[in-house]
Amino acid sequence: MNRWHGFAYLLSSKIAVALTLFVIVMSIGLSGFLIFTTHQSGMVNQQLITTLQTLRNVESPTAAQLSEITNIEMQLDESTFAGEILLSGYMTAITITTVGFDDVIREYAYDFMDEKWRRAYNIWVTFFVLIAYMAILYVNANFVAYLVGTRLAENMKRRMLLRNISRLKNHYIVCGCTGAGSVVISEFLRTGIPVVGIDKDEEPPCNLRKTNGFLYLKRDRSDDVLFEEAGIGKARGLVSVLQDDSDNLYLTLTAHLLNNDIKIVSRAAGEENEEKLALVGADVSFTPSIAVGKKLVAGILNRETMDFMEKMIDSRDQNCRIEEYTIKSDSPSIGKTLGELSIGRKTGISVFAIMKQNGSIVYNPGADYTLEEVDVLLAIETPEQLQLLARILQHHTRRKIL
Amino acid sequence: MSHSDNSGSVCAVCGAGETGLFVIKELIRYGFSVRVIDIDPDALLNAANLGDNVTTIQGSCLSDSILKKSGLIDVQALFCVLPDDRSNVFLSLSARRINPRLEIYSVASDISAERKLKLVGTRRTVNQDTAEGFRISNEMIRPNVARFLDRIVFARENTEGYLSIEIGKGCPSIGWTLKNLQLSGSTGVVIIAVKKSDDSYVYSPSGDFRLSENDNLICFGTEDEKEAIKKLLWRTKQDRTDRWKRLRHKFTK
Repeated sequence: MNRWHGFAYLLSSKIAVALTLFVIVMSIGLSGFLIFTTHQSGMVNQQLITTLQTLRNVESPTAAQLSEITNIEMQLDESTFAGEILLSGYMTAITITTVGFDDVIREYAYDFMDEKWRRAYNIWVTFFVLIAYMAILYVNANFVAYLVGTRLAENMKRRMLLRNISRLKNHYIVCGCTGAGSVVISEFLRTGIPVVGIDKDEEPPCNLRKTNGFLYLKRDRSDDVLFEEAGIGKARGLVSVLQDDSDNLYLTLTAHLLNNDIKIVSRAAGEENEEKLALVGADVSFTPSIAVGKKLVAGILNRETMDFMEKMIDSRDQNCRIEEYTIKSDSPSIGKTLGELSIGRKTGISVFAIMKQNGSIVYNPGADYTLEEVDVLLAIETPEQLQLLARILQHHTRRKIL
Repeated sequence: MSHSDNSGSVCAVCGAGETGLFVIKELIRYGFSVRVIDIDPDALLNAANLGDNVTTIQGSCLSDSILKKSGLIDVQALFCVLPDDRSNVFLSLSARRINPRLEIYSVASDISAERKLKLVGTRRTVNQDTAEGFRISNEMIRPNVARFLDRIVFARENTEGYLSIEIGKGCPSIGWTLKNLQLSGSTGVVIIAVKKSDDSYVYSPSGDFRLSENDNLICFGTEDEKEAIKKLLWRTKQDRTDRWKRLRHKFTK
């Protein structure tokens, strides 16, 4: 973005042009006025010119005489036409910046004027100062507005934002920050996962505006550039919950091309589009109606279970969730028993179920349960406890048990 | 709870939009008979194609005569899946007046609508954004938990999984702490939550949690484990002293 764009805008404004022209005309007029009045009153000193001529005619001038010559030349120079223009510029500047005016004028012209000219001069200067002052106000206001409200501030904000995003890794990108998107974002943030939100609005929706650590990008450029800015190369997942399926499809495809490993979950507004989304690289795609319908029907099937589950995973106001922790294939904890790891004592959580690789579930694993590859530990815990658990299971060494 | 006994029950679904159709499909899968009310004949045709035990009634869900005609009086549950909140609230209210015993389930698009629906007697409201949002975030950050819960909630038979053990009136364990009862210690079952009588939950109760009347212990496990815990809970004072005596006898011998 061009930082001079704002200045160009400022200058192209018609009012600004009119005011500038007015100030120029007035200041030229002022200089004309001064030349006219000074010549009228005979201020351009005939005496000085004769002194200069006599001094120049001296055969071998002394140093004092030479400096006298330069002095007089300088004084006369101010009285030439160029000198007057310079003076008028100078006085315009000191007037409209309210530095001072009267002292200079008094010395040069005012004292030489007669009553009639003084009055005309006073009127002229009054108008000139008022209008110039308005012009300055106008320019100032525009400049401040430009600094605060528009491009410059926005540029700086965006640069800061991009710097913050570039520090992220393993974050998630959520396209569409209203409705379901806002629920997704707040759930991610609650779990302590960094999120970059993308939407077409200038600002994120108000419930997310005050949220700490939420980074928001406006969707105002091509999706490829936007995804690069959102750090898709280092992101772990992309959620696309825009209203329009063609948008979702395009974003999914773009993301898939930019980062092959990223996990993509996309909304398919129409059921028939799920397959298409899967085709362009969405790992999971589903229609909103399924999520809603499933919960509706679950109510009639198994009300109490559902009630508990809902509180457990969907509640906005409590921090505990059923969380999972997957034992990765390179984890040092494989082959250890739960008793050896003493998870319960160290973190205060109790693992109530373990999902095995083949899909079977072991409920209430005892202390003698031996962890295997790709076991999924299920427990009720807060995000902090989950992090603690991850630390224990990843950095577990023999030395620590002993 | 077994789901095979649903054949006699009838559910009404108002609105045969996308969500409506999905609800109908699921209900048929679990053996319910479904009556569908919608104003749009095309949507009704789609619904009718889903199965044999779908009856369609064409008309506005907001008129009492249509609701009465659809036989709301002998229906077990009503699903309001109309596209806007106002209609859903209106429908819930009129249905409630026709049949006070009706279980009403409704979709809602924001929190204030949910509150209003609860006020007119809806048993369960599902917020569309929340449902979708949590589904997505669970799919992203805890896919296995989502699978696990789906499995528990939609289990066809409950031989294992979610257990809820009620502390009934007169249970000798009332007033005891979990630590003293040795529930986890002797059966290995992890009590993940306790549901209090006012429907609030205490998650991961500590050993010092004191049981009171009408609490429900929530845990996962098999029926056998449930029986074992029940037995522990209903131990009388006599049992405990007997056990203690036995133990002392064993150790002193």
